[in-house]
Amino acid sequence: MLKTLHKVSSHSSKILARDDGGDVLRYGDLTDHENFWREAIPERSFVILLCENTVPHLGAYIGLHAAGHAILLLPAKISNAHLMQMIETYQAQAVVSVQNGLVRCEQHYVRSEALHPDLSICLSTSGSTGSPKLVRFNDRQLYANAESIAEYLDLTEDEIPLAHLPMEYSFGLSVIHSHMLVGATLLLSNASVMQPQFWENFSEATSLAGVPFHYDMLLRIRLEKRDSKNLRTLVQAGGRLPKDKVLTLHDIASEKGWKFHVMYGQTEAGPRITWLPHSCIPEYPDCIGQPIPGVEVELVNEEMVIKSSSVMMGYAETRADLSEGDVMNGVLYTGDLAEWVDDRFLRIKGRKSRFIKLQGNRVGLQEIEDFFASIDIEVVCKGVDDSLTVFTTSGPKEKISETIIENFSFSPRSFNVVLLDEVPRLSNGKIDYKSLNALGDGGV
Amino acid sequence: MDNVEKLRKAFAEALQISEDVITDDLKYNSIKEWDSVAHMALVAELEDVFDIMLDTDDIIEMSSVMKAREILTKYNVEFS
Repeated sequence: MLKTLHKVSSHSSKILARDDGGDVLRYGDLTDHENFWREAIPERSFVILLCENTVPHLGAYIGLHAAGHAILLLPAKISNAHLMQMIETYQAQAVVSVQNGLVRCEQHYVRSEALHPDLSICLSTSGSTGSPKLVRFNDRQLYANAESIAEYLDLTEDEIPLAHLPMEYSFGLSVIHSHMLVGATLLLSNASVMQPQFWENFSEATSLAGVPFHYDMLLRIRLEKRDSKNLRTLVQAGGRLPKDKVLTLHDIASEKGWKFHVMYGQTEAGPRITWLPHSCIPEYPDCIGQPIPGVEVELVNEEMVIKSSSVMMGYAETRADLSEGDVMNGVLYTGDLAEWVDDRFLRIKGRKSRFIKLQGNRVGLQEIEDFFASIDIEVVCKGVDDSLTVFTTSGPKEKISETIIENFSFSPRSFNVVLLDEVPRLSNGKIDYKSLNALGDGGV
Repeated sequence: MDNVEKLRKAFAEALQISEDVITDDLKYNSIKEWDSVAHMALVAELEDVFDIMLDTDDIIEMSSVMKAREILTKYNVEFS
């Protein structure tokens, strides 16, 4: 799908991607990458690709895919222990990484259970937490979402997106897929908003995608004073951005002649689900917008249920799951509770399950509590998007912080630890979250 | 407290690390505590401690402790 999805000739010298080091990948190079991987790994395999946003990584990704392998994308900065756990759990045949610009392929399991013939790409359910659970996709699902994105954002081959969101993150991957589809040129980057390289790319890019914490930084760094000769579009997803910031960004964009769109998605949906166009923001700044082309949304007891050909095949937790077919049939219960506003746009009212997003990545509060319970430490979590407070009765706080950073890879500044004498409980023994709210400052 | 000490304290506070780790060579992204989220906190802390308002370009150029000293000098913060 990846090699053939775009309308660019396979001999074209058009640039598909350029990275921070100035390395370039052309649409015409893709056949070479495919042939390389056909020889390097002759049999269809389950391959882990350790990702960074560089040209060699993207070349390996497209080449492995075109050569018919099923790929699990993981961050290159993954801990060794977590990587070993993934290799074991899924009996990965190979791990591909890039070191000093050179592609390395390590063989692992020689014989593994069969893969489902349609299985093409697997992503982690959460960008960073220790959970080994995966989301499984086939080509048609990813293609459907890429096509829909290209349609609603009206993408053309003239686009030059700043592709700084990690490629192993579903939102970042969707930026890559949707732009390849139209034959655009990606500015692949690992630079953060706080680095000069980011702004060099920014001055040339036509669009930028970010999660709430990127927009916090962009506002902090006075986006309104920044010029870009090509910029046309800003898009935000990956958690709720407060209404006042949505309006501020809308106003900055209007002033500059840019568009700022708010979007909503979930990895399981391939990932994008709805979008709120720039022009509708002043009237509906707290909405997530309307379904994107090809997606239908229905509210079942307030829960958003989506029907789309981009919904995943299903989850995987064992190697045997990788031989499973599509168990979702295009229907996904999102766990988000929503309502229609003026019969036009959806507004999120809450979550059914205890999930929050931290820097765009999904974090299960229960998962953190369960982890600590397993090492006999009492911990209770509370949070909203981009604000996590971890209450514990067992100090010191630093020890808890270190354990979280080590096991969940959260940014050290993205959560608070609060020490309690006792976890407040209701008379029935359940945790009293209301009292907890009063105890924690919850800020970041 | 002199400015050298104030700077070390500001870094320690913003990055939530021990003052011993803070040397002139310490660079952005070289330790996990100095990521982009911490960088925002660092900027706020420096602005607060030295009562200044950093320009955007200076915020993104501040890639090491050494660089931070150089930049702060532009704002009339003296390091003897």
